[in-house]
Amino acid sequence: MHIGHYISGAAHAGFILWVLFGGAFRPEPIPFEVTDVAVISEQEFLALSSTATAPEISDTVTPLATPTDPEIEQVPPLSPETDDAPVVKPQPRPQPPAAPLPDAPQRDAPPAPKQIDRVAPEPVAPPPPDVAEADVAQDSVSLTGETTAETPQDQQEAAAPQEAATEIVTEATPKPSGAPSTSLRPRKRPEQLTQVTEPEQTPEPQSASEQDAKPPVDQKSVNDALASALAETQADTPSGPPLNFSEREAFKTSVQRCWNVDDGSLWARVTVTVAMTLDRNGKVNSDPRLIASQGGSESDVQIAFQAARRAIYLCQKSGYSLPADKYDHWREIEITFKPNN
Amino acid sequence: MFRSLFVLIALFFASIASAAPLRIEITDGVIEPMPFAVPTFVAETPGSEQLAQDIADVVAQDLIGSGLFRRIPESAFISTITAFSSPIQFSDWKAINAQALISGAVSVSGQTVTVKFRVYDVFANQEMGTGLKLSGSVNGWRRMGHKVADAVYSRITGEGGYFDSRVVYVAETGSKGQRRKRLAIMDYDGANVTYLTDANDLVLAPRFSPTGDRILYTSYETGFPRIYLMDVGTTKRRVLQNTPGTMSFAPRFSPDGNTIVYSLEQGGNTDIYSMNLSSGQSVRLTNDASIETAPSFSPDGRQIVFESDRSGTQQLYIMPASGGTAKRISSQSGRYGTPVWSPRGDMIAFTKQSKGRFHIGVMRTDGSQERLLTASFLDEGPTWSPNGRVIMFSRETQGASGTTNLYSVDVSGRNLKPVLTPAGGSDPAWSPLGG
Repeated sequence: MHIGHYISGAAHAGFILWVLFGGAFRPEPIPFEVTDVAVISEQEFLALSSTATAPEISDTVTPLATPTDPEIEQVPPLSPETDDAPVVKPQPRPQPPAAPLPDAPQRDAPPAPKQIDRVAPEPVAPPPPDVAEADVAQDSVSLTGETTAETPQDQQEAAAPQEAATEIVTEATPKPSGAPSTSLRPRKRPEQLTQVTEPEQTPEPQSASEQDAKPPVDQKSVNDALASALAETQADTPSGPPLNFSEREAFKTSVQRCWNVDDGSLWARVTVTVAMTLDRNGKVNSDPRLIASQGGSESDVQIAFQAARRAIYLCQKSGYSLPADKYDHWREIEITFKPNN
Repeated sequence: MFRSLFVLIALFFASIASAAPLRIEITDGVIEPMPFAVPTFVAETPGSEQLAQDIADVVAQDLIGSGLFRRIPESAFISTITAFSSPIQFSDWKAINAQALISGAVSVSGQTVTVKFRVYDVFANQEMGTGLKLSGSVNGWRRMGHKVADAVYSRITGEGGYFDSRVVYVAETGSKGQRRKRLAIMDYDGANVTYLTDANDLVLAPRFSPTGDRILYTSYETGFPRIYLMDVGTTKRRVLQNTPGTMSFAPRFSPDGNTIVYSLEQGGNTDIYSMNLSSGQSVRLTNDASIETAPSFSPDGRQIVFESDRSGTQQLYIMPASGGTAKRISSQSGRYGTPVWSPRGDMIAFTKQSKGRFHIGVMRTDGSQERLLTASFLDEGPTWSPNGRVIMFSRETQGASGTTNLYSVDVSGRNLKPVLTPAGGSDPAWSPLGG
């Protein structure tokens, strides 16, 4: 016989012995508790489930004293000075001075009347006056000058980032440039401008009276102005394609899940449109503002706006998830909150 | 030249296109109670700690009871408020998702209690409105709590509150076949119940005056239903309509409190009348062979909604307050009764019987957008809260041992809950705010 058979036989024998003498068939049952239950009616259940104790029933009729209205007065608003006061102040104290409530929202940090520079604490030298602002610094390109680049470039003015923009961390992340060098469509436009300046575009003959009435047009200055305007437009033109359907829906969903609609209220019949600006992290960097409304009273509109603003702040967390390469398309956002009753 | 013009126009539209923001339209939000934090009010005088706790609890219970708010437990607080004028650390309250914060302080001097409070919009980092200070009797501390809750509710929702209000109703004791009915008055939440009449005579359908100092009701004291007017403060009363051989019932005040409308049964026919309370003169408003009853004024006093079976079944009609042609507004199947015009003026609450079930419902004043809020063996007698947001009614359970109790429901159909009363109750009527 194999050794395996001996092992198997010994194990089975041990198991049988444990079953017989180990108490597996112990006669006494496992102890358990028995609890009496009673069937109660719906009224009794309601009475039992009530959280508060009902007042006692009285058989007497007591004439009611006319209720006296409490006196109501306004509490002086919090002044900036009181914010610095020590917290513990158990005894009655004189009322704080009736200073007007500051218009700006109260801040988490101890109040500092002076706005703190978050990005550029050191003074930054202003850019040259003839340099326009752009997200990314760029050199000027002249239409009339010779270009050494293999790829012809558009005419553009020299541009520099905003003062504080050089310190923003998100700028460190390489992002597609909004400059016209990466956009195919604007490249065509200087050619058109050039065509405008072609000498063969002779003006139509004008009558002597018309020539006398209108001052002579300086074609070069017009072209310069057009080129300048074009350069500015190119700098603001969003790069890349706009947000697709799923990206828009994702953003919409992320806001609406925090939009708490009180459908029994009057403001639930009000439509408000709120505008705001987001930074590159998807966080609100300008307090949402009401730009349009429809229906309801002024008070209803304000409550509807507060609910919309609350939804925007509540769900932004660390920033809305939006495609970073399409920042120029979602930097400015307008959201219309239209309760669907 | 034309090319320049063309380029300019193209540039103009291009600049518009480049500046266009991302536009999103949202139509579906969520419906959930707003989380708020109410730290225990600061006790500014020795011995006022318990009162500070109690008043803060009343405020919280009022807001929670509306179904629109959810209280964040104090165990979740990161910071608390130890002085009424201390700065608010909004980040601490944002972290626990508190969207509104209520801070308050209580001080007691003799028999006078003073309550101060402020409301903050946490995510906007700012106070909502200005703080208020209330002073009153120590015995009226619950009412002061209700007033604070009303102010908070109003600032957050933009609507008036209803917590500082009372309800007059018919208190019912005894078995179904031997009911004893008495007029009783209580706070809106069932507290401070006081009885206005004894149980010797059957009483029905009490109604508050617009100022809350008088009550109209129907009593069978003479064996026939008669309309009485009671002064709430003194419980003194007088009969208003006592024409022999008639029955008068279903009274209700006009919005200015100078006139009442009621039903008068005479010679087997029931019509609606109005009575000037100063002169006692009555004017007949309807003149039909059918039964017209349960009149209720519109808030502007220009129209009256009532029920009539002139079409063969009970339906709702609206007519001018001076009488005249009535227009039927109920149009769906079933029988309609006890209409009550909303204080907002935009809706009418009613009782509906359909397919063996009773419902409390609301509809627009033109009969559109009918919405049934409840369904049970017997629901009836709706009354509006002062702000037109909540409806209270009575619900009777089935069977010989069935009871009648008061319930309330939000106009949206949510937050259906019983109103705790010492015994059964029916025919509730809500007072005006502060009444």
